[in-house]
Amino acid sequence: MNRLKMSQFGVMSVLYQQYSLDYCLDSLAANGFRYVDFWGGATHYCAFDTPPGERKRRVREIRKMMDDRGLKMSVFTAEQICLYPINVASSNPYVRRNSMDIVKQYLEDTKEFGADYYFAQMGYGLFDEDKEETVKRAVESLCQMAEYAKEIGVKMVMEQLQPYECNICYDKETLKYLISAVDSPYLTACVDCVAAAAAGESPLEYYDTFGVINHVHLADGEPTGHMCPGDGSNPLNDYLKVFADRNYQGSVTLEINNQMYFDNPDKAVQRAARWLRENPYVESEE
Amino acid sequence: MRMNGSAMYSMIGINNFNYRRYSFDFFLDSVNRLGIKHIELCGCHPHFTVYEHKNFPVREMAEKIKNHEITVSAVMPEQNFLPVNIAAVNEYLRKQSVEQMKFYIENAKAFDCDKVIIYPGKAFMNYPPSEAWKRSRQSLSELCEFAKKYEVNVLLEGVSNFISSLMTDSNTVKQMMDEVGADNLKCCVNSCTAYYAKETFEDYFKIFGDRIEMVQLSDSVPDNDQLVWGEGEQDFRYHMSVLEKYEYKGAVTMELNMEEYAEDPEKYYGESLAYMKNL
Repeated sequence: MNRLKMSQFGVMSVLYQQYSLDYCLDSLAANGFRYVDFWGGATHYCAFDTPPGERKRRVREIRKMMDDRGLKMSVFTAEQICLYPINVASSNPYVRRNSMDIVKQYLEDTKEFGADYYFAQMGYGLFDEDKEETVKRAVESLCQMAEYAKEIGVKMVMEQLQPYECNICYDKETLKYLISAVDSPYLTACVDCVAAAAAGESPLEYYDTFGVINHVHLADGEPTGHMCPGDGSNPLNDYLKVFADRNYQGSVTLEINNQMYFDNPDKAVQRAARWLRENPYVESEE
Repeated sequence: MRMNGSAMYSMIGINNFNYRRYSFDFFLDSVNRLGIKHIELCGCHPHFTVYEHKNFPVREMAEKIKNHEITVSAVMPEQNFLPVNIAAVNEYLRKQSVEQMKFYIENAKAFDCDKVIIYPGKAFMNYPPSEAWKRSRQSLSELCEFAKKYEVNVLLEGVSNFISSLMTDSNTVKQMMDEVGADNLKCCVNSCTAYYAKETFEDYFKIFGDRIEMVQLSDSVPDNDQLVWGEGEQDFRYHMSVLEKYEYKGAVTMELNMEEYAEDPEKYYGESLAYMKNL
């Protein structure tokens, strides 16, 4: 039986948004994780909390903080359309232009961080706007991002969102459409197990649709809620079995992101680490 | 007039945060459809922030609101989800945040509104809270001073631990208001914040009296807040009785905020309003 390795797992740092970044990295290292899925939001690091001239210095500083703890960045997941004013498909030209400038900067940061991937987002249209025009703008922007990614040697992964977040990419078919339209090896699929569960899909169907999966988001839920493994009712073992059977070698991010854990993220991550070590589809390397 | 759900209808406002996936025009039409007369104007993206335009067309927005026969009871800059934190240890972010709050203060008048709601800001939980407290106080003092010029009241709103640990109950809000000591620093009270601090509106009215210039009502359960009315544990009849007892004349906002409400906000507000009418 194939098993996933503990070293394939990481945690998204969004969970630690009420704690300083050094606390977050200490906690992840102490809990035996190798990967950080780095959340780009205030006040850890983002385009809005760092003066433009300070950006490179700050990015190098973060890189060193990870290196010093033996951590590696799997993905740079900048906060974009869900909370922040970054929307590469916006019908407002000012917003769209600024968003593209920020995303290009984030692609450069991804390289400097030594991360495997930048977490691309397709943008969204207002729900009372013309959807076809939004899709056109999204594809055009994603193509520009893929071109720039290729130029500087950075790869991107992208996932589907929830229907209340995005009206142009909310299941595997709409994700497939965008990735195919861009048609670049620099933009591939990430499976979000929570969004899949919410859409009534299984990760297996994502393999069938995309062939290649380069990154996975895993969390428990009811089916949504981005909970710590064990706190919800999603069939996480079934999901892990799918990836183990396919001999998946990529990174898996525990995307625990629910306000109920924000006051003590370390406790949630300790429980998550224990859950992984006791999981039949995960091989502990100690 | 005896306070009941129907009487409340004329007092209640809603805000546009849940409509952030729709155009602002859609929101205004929806407010008309729901029969609502007041709004709490939320400074959220993509409706009303410094991120949408080099120079935000404030007059144009105010005109649109007026044309819909809607009044603005308060301006509520989004400060939880956007990169804004007036207590940030990162001084650049703190200053940027204060500048953004000034944008709302200097433009409130365009909406015939003299109230801007400000959050305490956030502290890192592994750093000494006293330092964040000082930074919050410094920012609030600066904002109150600035607001004087524009004859605007700054409404300080304590928030639950989910958002920030700085000012979570009436005592800490009172302490900050005393320390800042500005006449134009008033208070906004939220039913969920009170609930999590195991307090009631009465605790707030006893302390603040007519310095309460905005009341926000939403439902909550122990691990989630800002729910559709009727889905949680809040006693709205009791809330109304307190407003009546203290002869509260200010605005009341129906504050809903679950991410999935964004898909069809009118539906969730409609449900809450129907619940309210039957109280």
